Amino acid sequence: MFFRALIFFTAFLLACCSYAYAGEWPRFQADNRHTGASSVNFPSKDFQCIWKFRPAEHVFKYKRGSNVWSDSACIANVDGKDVVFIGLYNHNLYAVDAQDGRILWHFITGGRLDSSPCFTMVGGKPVVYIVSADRVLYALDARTGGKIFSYETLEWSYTVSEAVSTSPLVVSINGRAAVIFCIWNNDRAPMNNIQRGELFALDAATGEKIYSKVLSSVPLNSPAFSSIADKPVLFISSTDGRVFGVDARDGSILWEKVLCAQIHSSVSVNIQKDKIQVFVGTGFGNLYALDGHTGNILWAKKFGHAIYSTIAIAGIEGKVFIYFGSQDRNIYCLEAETGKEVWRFKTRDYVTSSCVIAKALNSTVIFAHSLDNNLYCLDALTGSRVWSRDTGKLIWGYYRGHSVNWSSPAVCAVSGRPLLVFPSYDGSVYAFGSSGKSK
Amino acid sequence: MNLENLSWKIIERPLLPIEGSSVDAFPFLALAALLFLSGCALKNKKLGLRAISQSISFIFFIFAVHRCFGAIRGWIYGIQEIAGNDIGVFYNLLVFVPLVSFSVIFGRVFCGWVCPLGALQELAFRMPVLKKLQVNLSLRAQRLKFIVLAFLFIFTVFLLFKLRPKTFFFVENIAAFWGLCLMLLTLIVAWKPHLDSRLKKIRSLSLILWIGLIIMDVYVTDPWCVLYGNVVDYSSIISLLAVLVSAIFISMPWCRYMCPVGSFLGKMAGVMRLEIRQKIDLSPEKISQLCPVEALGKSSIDRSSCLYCARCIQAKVSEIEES
Ligand code: SF4
Ligand code: SF4
Repeated sequence: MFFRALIFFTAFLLACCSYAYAGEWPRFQADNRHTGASSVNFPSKDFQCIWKFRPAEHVFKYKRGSNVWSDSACIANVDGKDVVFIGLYNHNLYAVDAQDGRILWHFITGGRLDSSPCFTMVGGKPVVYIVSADRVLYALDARTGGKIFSYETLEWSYTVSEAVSTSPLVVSINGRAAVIFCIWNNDRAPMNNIQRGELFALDAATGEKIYSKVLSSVPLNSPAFSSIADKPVLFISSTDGRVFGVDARDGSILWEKVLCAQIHSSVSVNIQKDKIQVFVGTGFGNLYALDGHTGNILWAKKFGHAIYSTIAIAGIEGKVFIYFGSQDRNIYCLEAETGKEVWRFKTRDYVTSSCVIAKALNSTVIFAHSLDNNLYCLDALTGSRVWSRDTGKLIWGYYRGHSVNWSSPAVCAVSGRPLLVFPSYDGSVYAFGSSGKSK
Repeated sequence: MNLENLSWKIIERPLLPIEGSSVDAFPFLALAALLFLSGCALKNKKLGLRAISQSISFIFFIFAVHRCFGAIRGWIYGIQEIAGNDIGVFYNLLVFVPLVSFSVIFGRVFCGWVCPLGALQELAFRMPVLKKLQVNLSLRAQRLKFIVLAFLFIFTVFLLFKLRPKTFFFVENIAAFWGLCLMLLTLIVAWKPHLDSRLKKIRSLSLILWIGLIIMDVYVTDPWCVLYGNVVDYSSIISLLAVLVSAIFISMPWCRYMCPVGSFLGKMAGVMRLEIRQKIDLSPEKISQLCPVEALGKSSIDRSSCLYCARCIQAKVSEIEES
C-alpha cells in the first residue's frame, strides 16, 4: 500500500515538474523528452516579424568549441508576463518581454552560454536554470534575475578549460525536485589531468548535490527523461558515440550502447503504449531508433551526411512522425515506427539545428533553420514549403564545421497570441507572429 | 535510390572500441599492418605483392570501414586536443602516426602500396578505352585532348556553381577549389607538357595553404572524404570527379601537383631509411613511360616526388637501398 502511494506521489510530482501550460516552451526542445512539439496554433500561414532583439553590438571572436552563437530560447509565463530567456556567447542570460522584445533583466556568468536555459516553478517560485562554460550551474529568480544559488562543478585553476555544457531539466527523484544536467570539465594540468563528462543531480530548490556520475571522458549531450515501468530514466548521448540509459534516482547505468560514430545530437524519446523508442543521429549520418528498455537497435537508417540535430517527434492523424535535418542539406520526415521516409526537403546548405513542430491554420507544420540562412516553415505531412524567411548572415566570417550545433526555433503563445522565437546567428533574436489573415 | 541513402560500408560499428567508444582501433592496426608488410615486401623486392596490398587496402578502407583519412588535419587537431580529450587525440592521430613512422622506416610505401586514392588514379589512367587521350599523340590529337579537358573543366565549374552552398562558399568548398586547381594544372600540362616539373613545385604551396587553413580553424575536406567517409559532401564529390577526370589525361595528377599528404611525405624524403636510387641514365620518353609521376630523372630520382611504386626497380632501372 505504502509502495503504491509512493509511486502515485512520485508520478504526481513528475507531472508537476514537467508541467507547462500549452503556450510555454520551458526547456530545450519543449519538454523532457525533447519532442520539440507544441500545440500552439498560428491563426494563419503568413508570418511577420513582430520584434527583433539585438543584445550586443560588440562581436566576440569566433572561438573553436563554441556550440552556438546563441542557445535556443526558453519561453515561460512569469507572474502573468510571458518571458523569453536566452543565453548568449557574450556570457549573458537575457530575459526579454515576449510581447515586445524589451529587455527585462540580464545576468552575467563567467563563460559563454551554449545550452538552453530551463524554466520551472520550485516551491511556488519561478526559477530559471542555466549551465555556463565557467563550469557553474546558476539558478536564478525568473522575475528579477537574482541569484538563488550556484553550483560549481569543478574548481577553478590556471589550467582548467572552458566547460561544455548541456541544457538542464527538472525531474522528481524520490519525491524531491531535482535539476539534472551534464557537463564536460577539463583540467589540462599534466599531474592532475581531468577529462570528465559528468551527470549531476542537484536539489532544485537549494542546489545541494544529490549525486553525480562520470559517464565519459568526452562531452555529453543534453539529457532526456522518461519513466519506464515506474522507473525514472535519463537518456544521454555522448560525443564519443555512446548512448546511455541511466537510473535518474542514483545515476546508475541501466544500459549502454555504442553506435557507429561521434554523436552531437541529443536523445529524444517517443512513448507509444509500452513501447519506448529512443532516437539519435550520428556523425556518420545514421539515424538510430533504440529500445528505451534495453538500448537494442530497433531500426537504423543511413543518410547522406552527419545528423547533429535533435530529433523532433509529432503524432499526426494517428501516426507518429519524426523530423530532423542533416548535413546533406535535407530536412527529413520519417515514420517513427519503421523509419520509412515520408518526405525530404532540400535546402541549400547544412541543416544542423533541430526542427520544432506547431500548428498553423489547424494543420501541423514544422519550423527548421538551414545554414542557407533561411528559417523554413514546412507542411508536416507533405514537406511542401509554407513560408520561409532569410534570418541573416553569420556574424563570423567562418566557423569550424562538425563542431557547431546552431540554435533552433521555439514556439509559444503570448497572451493567447502564437509566437515563433528564433535566435539567429546574425546577432539578433527574431520573434514572428501570424497576422490572422491567411494568405 | 537517392544519393543520400547510398550506403556501401560493410562494418559500421567499431570492432576494437577505444574505452568503449565509437573510436575504433582496428583501422589503425590494419593500416599499420599493411604498411609494415608492404615495407617488408619492398625491402625484399617481392614487388608482385604490391597489387595485393593495394587491393586489400582499397577494399578495406573504401568498402569495409568508415575512417577519415585526413592525416594533415588529424595531426593539427590531435595536437590541439592533447591533455583535453584523449579519445580525440587517438582518433585524430590514428592515421598520421603510422603514416609518418612507417615512412621513416620504409619510405613512401603508403603512396605506392597502400593509398586507395593513388590506386584509383592508377586505374583511371590505365582504362584502355581512354588510352587514346593520353601520351605520345600527334599535334592534332594533342589539341583534341586540350579541348576535351577544357570542356570538362568548364563543366566542373558549372557543377560547382550548381551545387554551391548558399553561404560559406569558400569555407565549405576547399576540396572543390583544390580539384579545380588540379584540372587547371592538367590543362596547362596538356598544352605545354614541358612545364610539368615546374608545376610540381605547387605541391609545397598546396601543403602550406592547407595547413594554414586548418590552423585558422577552417574544416577542410578532401577528394577522398566521399569514399572513406561514405558521405554526400558536394565539395568532396566535385573534387573527386576533378581528380579522376584529370587522371585520365595525366598519370597520377593529384599526387604530382596537389596532394597535401603526398607533399608532406615528400618533405620527409631526407629522413627515410629505405631509398630508391636510379642506376641507369634515361631518356625523357623512357622516363614518362616508366614512372607514373615522372620522378625519374636523366640520372637521379626526384625523391620528393617518388611514390615508391617500385616500377623502376622492376624495370631494373633503380635499386632499393638502406641508408
Ligand atoms: S600523393 Fe597523396 S593521393 Fe597520391 S598516393 Fe600519396 S597520399 Fe595518396
Ligand atoms: S621513381 Fe617513379 S617509378 Fe620509381 S619508384 Fe618512384 S615513382 Fe615509382
